[in-house]
Amino acid sequence: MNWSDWVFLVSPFLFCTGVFLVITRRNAVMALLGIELILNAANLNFVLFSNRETGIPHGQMAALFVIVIAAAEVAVALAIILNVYKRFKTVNIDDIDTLKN
Amino acid sequence: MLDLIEIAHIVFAGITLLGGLALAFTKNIIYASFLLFAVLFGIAGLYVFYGAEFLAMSQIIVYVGGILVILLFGVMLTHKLRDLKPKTEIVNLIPGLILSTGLFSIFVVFVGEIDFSQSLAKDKLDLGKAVEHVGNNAERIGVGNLTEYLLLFELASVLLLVVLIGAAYLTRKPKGEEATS
Repeated sequence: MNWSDWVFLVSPFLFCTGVFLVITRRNAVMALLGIELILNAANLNFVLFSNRETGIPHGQMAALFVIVIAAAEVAVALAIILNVYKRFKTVNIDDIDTLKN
Repeated sequence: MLDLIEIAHIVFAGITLLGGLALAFTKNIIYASFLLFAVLFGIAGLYVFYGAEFLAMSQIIVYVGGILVILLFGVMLTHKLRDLKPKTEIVNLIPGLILSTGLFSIFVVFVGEIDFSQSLAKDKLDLGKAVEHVGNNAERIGVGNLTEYLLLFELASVLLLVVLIGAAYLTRKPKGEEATS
């Protein structure tokens, strides 16, 4: 392994951090932060391996659409979290365990 | 040998990694949101080094300007500010640590196995060259958006419209029901 290969370890690190956040937090907003980290790790790899010399940079296009999806996802997830907070008065994921009534 | 570009690259990667590490262990949600800001900013800096200036700008505009503000709104609307305790406890610490460090060591082994010098990414590690070659990144992305990715582009716009309407619908007040608090 070449020492300059540390470039490829940044996005795995971010991915693992995101997984750790999703596992170890009970707060829904914190879990959402973890999901954002995971999406950004994937984005970083897409950009790192995209072609940058000529033609359409397909990796960067994929990353661009991931950004769009992430923005949409955060908006809807926060709307759902606000609704859950209005109904249950908490955003603790473990406390929200009723489907109806 | 480290030249200026490489040093800047390492600085941005360090911001990203340290921010991620601190984010993993902070308990305050407000701090976590601002640490996420640091991580996203570092990633935007890294994008510049990987020849994606347009993406770096959209990362800053969309994530830092949009998503982070929405997240802060979410934090402040779901925690009573009079308590002033936007904290979460850390649960499942041992399983989480085992899973994430195990996953990361698997990634390290995989990256060690692959010989990147033979692959597509060879000249990408030569960062000075990569920065020199890129001049019309936004133009190439624009051409891609309107030719090969036109359908996806239009679908993304429809998706954003649907999300706009859906989020407004989800958070509306039901008819005839007054606010309880």
